[in-house]
Amino acid sequence: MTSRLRAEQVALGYDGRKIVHELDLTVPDGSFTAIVGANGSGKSTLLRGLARLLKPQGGAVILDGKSIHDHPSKEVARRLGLLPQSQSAPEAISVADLVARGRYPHQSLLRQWSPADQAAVNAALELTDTADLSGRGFHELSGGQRQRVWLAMALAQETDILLLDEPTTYLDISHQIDVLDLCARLRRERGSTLVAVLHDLNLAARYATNLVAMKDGRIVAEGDPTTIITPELIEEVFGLACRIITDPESKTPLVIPRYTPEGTTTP
Amino acid sequence: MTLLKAGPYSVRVNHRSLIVGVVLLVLLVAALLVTLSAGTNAFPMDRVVAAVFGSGTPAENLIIGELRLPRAVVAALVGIAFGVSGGIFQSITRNPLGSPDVVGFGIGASTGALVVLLILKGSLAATSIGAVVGGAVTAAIVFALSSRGGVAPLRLVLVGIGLGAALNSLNSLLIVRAQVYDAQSASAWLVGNLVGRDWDEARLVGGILVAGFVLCLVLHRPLSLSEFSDERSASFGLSTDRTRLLAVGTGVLLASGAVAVAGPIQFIALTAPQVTKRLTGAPGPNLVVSGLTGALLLVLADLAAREAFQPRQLPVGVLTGLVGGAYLAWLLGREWRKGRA
Repeated sequence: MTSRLRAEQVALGYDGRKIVHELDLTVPDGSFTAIVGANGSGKSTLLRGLARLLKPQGGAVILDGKSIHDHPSKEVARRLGLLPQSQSAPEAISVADLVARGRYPHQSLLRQWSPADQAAVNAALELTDTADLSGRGFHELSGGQRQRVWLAMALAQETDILLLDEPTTYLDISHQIDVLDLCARLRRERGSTLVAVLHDLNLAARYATNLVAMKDGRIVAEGDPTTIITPELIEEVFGLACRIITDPESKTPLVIPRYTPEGTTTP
Repeated sequence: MTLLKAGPYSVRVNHRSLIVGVVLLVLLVAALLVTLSAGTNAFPMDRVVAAVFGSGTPAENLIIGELRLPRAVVAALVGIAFGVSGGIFQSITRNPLGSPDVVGFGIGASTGALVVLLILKGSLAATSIGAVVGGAVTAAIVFALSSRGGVAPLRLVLVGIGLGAALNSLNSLLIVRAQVYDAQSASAWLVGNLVGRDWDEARLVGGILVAGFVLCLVLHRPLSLSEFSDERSASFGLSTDRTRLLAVGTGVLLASGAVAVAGPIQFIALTAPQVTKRLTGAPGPNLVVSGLTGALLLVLADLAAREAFQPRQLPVGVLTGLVGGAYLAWLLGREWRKGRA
């Protein structure tokens, strides 16, 4: 197994407070790696560290054999993209213009727009099924459409590795499936490596090829979702009593929380 | 989008921005010609053109070529400097109130100029240097106070407004402590005025504009990306803090240069980018159109200040203050409603 992106004994946090503790993680090339864990388990912090947004307090994130902080920032941006959670966009911007601004790491002072830029933007719009929205104002779009447009912007960046920070949050179920189907397609058709922080365990189990379960800034379990998801693991990571059945659609593990009519969960 | 190409240089420009820019340029030339011809001594256009090229009668050459022309050119250049500076600040603060005159950089430039004018008794050139230094020092203080592991745009605006208020009282103190005659001319300077501006001033702002233009070429793409959240722009390889530092440096240079020759004329920097946004309907930073809008606004304002209240001339700063103040009140009201909605 080859891996272009990995964390070595990385410690991450803010203002001296450590959230991720000396953690090792290897992201297999071409995998869909989903990071799951309870709120505050450090999964988003880990993703920010992998994306070079956070400087490690110790250890390093290694991209292509070198610490990610030793690469120039534009060089990193040509290899590794990020879909952050923030939604703010310039006023009055059109979809086409927004996606086009994702070409930044490939442009220079003189060559601010090239046929390659146009081709990448068109391909990204096509892939995310947003080509027919390209003339519209971004702020007129629905939440589901906006998320696809954000994805198009990140895809226009043409990176082999894409990190996604809770890409399905705030989306209704059909749009969640849309986004994750698209991720699966990217992996299949482009050979992209995807790392996503996901809240929905069942969707993570369905789409991920590699599942990373975190608790208190450490990795508790890692591997194929079908083998690692057990009632004991869910109990440990989420403190939730549950049964695991097989998803009749995808044959992946399906987590069913225990139910007692009184509303109290018993272990 | 229209693709503009010149040799190896290629840039994509918003279609409507391009048209608006050309129209503004035409209007600006027209406004300049009207400025040169209108007045107590009115001249027909053919005489204006003749005088501009130095082939008029001695009287025409004097009134048009030596009195009105340099003043009109200074008005246009100062307007461009304020307009571009405002566009830069509103882009990096992502806030229509993030303009150098609101955020205190213009006030800081005045403080620098006043110190040179009143305490060091310096020349025009020295006063200009004082203004640029004053603006730069203010920017450095605002940056230091608003940076905590990165410069948050809103914090920059709020700290700037606070520091501006403090500097305003420092300016008053400088004036109160000065000799009566000095204090009078300093107060007049603080209003912002273009009366009697000559080619020396035009060369000074012109030089600063050339430097600013080069910096804006470098800044344009980083700025348009930094209008997204910091996380997103960083993920595209932009170093947000470096962009903000360069942008503030450029904006302060342009605003201070303008303040140095014309005094702190209010509200051009605040209004120009907003008018630009409405005219083009395009996302920022749109610095070229913003500069042209600023130039047109200031040339027209100075024409009105010169001619509308004859036989007296108003300092142009009074006029922009009145109109711009009303506009600021409207803007604040709108932002407030938007915040509540």
